[in-house]
Amino acid sequence: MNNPAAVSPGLLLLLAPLLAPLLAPILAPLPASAGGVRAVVRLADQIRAVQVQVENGEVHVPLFACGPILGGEARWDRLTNRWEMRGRQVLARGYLDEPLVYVGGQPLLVRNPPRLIDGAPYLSVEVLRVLGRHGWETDVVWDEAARELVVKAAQQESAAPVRTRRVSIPAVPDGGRVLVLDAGHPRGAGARGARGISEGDLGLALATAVSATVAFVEGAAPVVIQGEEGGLEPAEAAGLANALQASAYVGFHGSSYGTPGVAVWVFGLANVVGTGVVFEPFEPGQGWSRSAVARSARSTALARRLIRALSEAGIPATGPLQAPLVQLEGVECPAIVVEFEGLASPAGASLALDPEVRAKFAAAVAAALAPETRGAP
Amino acid sequence: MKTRRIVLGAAVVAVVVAALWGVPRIRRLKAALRHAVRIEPEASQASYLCYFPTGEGLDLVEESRQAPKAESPADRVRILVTELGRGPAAAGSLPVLPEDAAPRTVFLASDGTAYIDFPRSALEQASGPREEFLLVRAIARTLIRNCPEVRAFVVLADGAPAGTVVMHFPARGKYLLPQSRPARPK
Repeated sequence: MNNPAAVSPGLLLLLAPLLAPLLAPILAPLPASAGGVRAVVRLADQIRAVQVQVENGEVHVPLFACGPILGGEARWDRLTNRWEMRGRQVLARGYLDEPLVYVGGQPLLVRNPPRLIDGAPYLSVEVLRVLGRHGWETDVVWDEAARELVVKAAQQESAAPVRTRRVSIPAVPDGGRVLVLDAGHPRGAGARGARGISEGDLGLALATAVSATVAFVEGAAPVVIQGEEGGLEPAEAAGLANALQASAYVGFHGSSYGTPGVAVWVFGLANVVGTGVVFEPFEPGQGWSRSAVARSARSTALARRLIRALSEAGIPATGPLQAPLVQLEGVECPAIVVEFEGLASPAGASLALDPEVRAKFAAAVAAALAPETRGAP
Repeated sequence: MKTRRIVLGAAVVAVVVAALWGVPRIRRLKAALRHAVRIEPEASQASYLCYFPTGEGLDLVEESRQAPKAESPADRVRILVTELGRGPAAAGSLPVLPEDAAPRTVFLASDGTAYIDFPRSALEQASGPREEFLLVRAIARTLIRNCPEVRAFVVLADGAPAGTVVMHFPARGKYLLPQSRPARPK
């Protein structure tokens, strides 16, 4: 006991209650985030090891390991906390601790944002999964039991829009200027109204009636198109009209709300749902929607002719209303959408279903379209 | 002498341990008290103005709502859109969203763009151009009136932009709100 460094067991017993709070954090098991977990990444025929972090049940992978995993180059700006992942044809970017992730210019929200762990940037498996699905066309799956991150080519259809696919072009009468009459939604789909009316059924009835009338207009070659369930998308309808070098496009729609009558819409990006409200597409400038804006003057003239003709026929008509309707986006000819409103009310449904009103409506549309069929096709 | 030294040593260790153990807890207790003082029952509710269509024309009517006080501008957007999902109280006004449709999350970016993320099911309603016009208009008018920090909004479905808000109005872009609104006092 002469050694000054020696401590008696009695003293230790005396100090034990006092030292316990100090020693507890040291003796407690390490939290999962403190040291990370060694995991395996399976990439088709390759296997890599990576040190992942588990926090609140979510697995985080080092940003700079994500580059080789997805097939891209990862960068992180320490000053701004901006991170990015550059693939062959896609760029993903965002900021640490922010749930907003841009992939190919499209914003996506995640629940577990990228974050800084022990001074290094990490992406959650959720972010990796989102990048895989929206930009890299890969499926990213974390197998908790095996501690494996499996990365493989996407098995399901990618959430990203399909860029190209074949659509058959309908037969076109010879020798006339093509007028595309788009019946809009598939039969039975879209807005509902009184007396069992549906937007899709109404659109087809209106387009067919207009087609029969327009066929008598000199030089006109009407073509009726309609989306089928899982089939023709608005962009494809626009593509068809462009492929046929249509002289004019009319889409037929209906709404439950509104005062019974007809509203005529044209494409526009400014003052869309109120004064000063502007729609700004994510697409780059001079893109798909800009081509529709370029034809807005002629579309508005067509809309005004139709409103005048409908009013003269005794059918209540309003417009032209300006909106960035996807049905008009990308159409490279004068284009309008005609909407029967107030279908939920008995008066609105009666107006839309009345054969006499329908005949007058078809005649008014034919009259409004007539100037577009003049001249050689 | 030896016993005195032991007792003195133990006392010193006890003081150090007590200081190390106690100070953080006192700080946490103080913080908890400050937090408790902030959450006063009478300050937990706030007034908001929501806008709903009437079914006639393009007009919207104003409705005053009492709802939980927002913790942040993004939270205010979430509360307002949730109130729009609850539907109008006034007879004659019409809903713009399916019953009890609420956003999954709202993120307000530093440029003032509010990303409003709905469950896809909330946007899968049978809708014509007019209903969709009124939905987008109701969101825009409600944000303009209540959220001067919000400069634009984006509608997402399950975390990603769908092709359309419902069936006619585009969702792959931002709806920019008028910039001439007075800034919210800080």
